[in-house]
Amino acid sequence: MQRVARVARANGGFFFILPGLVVYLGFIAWPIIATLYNGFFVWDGISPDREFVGLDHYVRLLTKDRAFRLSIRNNVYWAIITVISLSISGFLFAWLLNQRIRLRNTYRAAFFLPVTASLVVIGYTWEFIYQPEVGMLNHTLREFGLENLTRIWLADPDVTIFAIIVVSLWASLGFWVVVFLAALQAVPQDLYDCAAVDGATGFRQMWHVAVPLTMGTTRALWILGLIRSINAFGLVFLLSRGGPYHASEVIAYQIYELAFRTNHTGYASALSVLLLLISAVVTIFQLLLMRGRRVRL
Amino acid sequence: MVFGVKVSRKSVLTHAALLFFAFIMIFPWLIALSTGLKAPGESALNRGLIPWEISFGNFVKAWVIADVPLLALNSFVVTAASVVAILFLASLAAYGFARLDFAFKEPFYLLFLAGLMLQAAAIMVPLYQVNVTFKLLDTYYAMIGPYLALGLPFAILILRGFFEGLPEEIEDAALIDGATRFTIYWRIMLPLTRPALATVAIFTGLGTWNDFLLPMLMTSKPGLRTMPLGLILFELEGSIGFVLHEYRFALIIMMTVPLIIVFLLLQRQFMSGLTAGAIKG
Repeated sequence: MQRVARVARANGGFFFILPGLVVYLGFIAWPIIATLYNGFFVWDGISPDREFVGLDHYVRLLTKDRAFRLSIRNNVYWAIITVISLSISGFLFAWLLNQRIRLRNTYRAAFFLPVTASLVVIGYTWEFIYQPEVGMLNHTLREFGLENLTRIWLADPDVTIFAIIVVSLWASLGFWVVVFLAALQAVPQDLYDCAAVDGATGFRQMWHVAVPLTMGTTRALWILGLIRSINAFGLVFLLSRGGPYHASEVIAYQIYELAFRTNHTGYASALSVLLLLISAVVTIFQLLLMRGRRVRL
Repeated sequence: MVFGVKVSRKSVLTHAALLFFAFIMIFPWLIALSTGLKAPGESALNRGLIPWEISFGNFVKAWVIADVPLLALNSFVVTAASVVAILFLASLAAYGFARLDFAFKEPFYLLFLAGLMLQAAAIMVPLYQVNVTFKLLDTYYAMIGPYLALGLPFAILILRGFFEGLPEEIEDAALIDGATRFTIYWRIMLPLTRPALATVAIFTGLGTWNDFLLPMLMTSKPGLRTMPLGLILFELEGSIGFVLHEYRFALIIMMTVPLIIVFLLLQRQFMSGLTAGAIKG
């Protein structure tokens, strides 16, 4: 009896995490395990009959599924384009805003507003801009005599995914700017002064002082940017529904179509498992790269 | 310069660049605003930003068609319940991780942190299936449960760091007086954590308020629609099967302006929350 009491007291802290743990395991861990299991079956998500097919879904995904290959390609585009261009432009704007200039908060708010808006609002606003006839984009191009640059932005297989990625850039730029700005503000002024004494001005101060000193933040943003790119869904759903002919599909959208439109829940489960694996690999890889570096602000 | 202010060439260039890009960033909002103010049907003819006549009737129409009070109420219930539950469960767990000992503490912590890489879109099939199993579909809980589980990792991360930064001496005095750990957490530590709680609340609250995926997947009853879902389904609500752009943008304005006001009021906490999230997440 006494031993039980002692063990209970030594582990008393466990009761503090228990409620959170139950919710977490119930709504995340357990369903993920169930999905792993469902991925081995042909199943419509509703009926009690399911047929065990082993690894067939995975084999089909990796060897035969053309839509999946397109999705992977689009996710890769999404990741590369957003991470690279947001790193560069986010850092540059933060650098400009970090100068002692007037209206700094106004500029910052202008960049940041899309971050506070719902993706649905962003999606419909841009869908309107991209409309082939009444849309502002084609209209402006025609006004400037650039008729041959006009496109049916959201239904052209070569263009659609890039049109959507542009919206994603617009929607997340403010976030990157604000985070870079916070990191830049933590760089001590003395270091710039030292660099100035050594004759470094403007660009060289940025490249040799600010960039290395904010590297921790940059890496954290890269992880976040990659995770978000891998899981991109909302804008594709809102702007193109993956069309035309799967040309702008991403993995998460394909999962949605398979599970909720065509009731291929088993196949969608296998796809979810692959998506989670990709996220995990990216995260672990990035964390290994960051190991030993203390991320601080 | 007119006013005799000294302006360097560099700062003029900086301002020019910032003005230009800030304008590009603002421009879609101007389009939304002007379209929402145009007379019904006008946007097909008048592509300019200035409406020929300002039509406030759009707001009334959109308000009625979409049933904005209902949408706002549902969004509020789901968001408030999720945020309060996240704050309570996460602060409780974070206190346990920060101050108490138990077997497998760090592995459990890592288990929670692994959730940082999860986004609802990646696990929509599992989330849906769990709601089927628990028979929660078409209830508020079908949304609150997943929001809660997905919000915990970030909240625990932030709050644990905050608890560890508080001095332990405060608690020693209370322990000598015979207070239980839970009393200490509830009466002493939680009030001290208010800034971190505000950060977590704003961050998770905004995400929950704006999300459309879970309401779309988990509910089909019109009575449970949240704001973003109401906008998606707005199309289908007009009397002739579609609604005009002008009405839709009036609804968009009604959805966005309150958020902008809240953001401007809470700007500081907001920025610190995002920064903490990105740096540590």
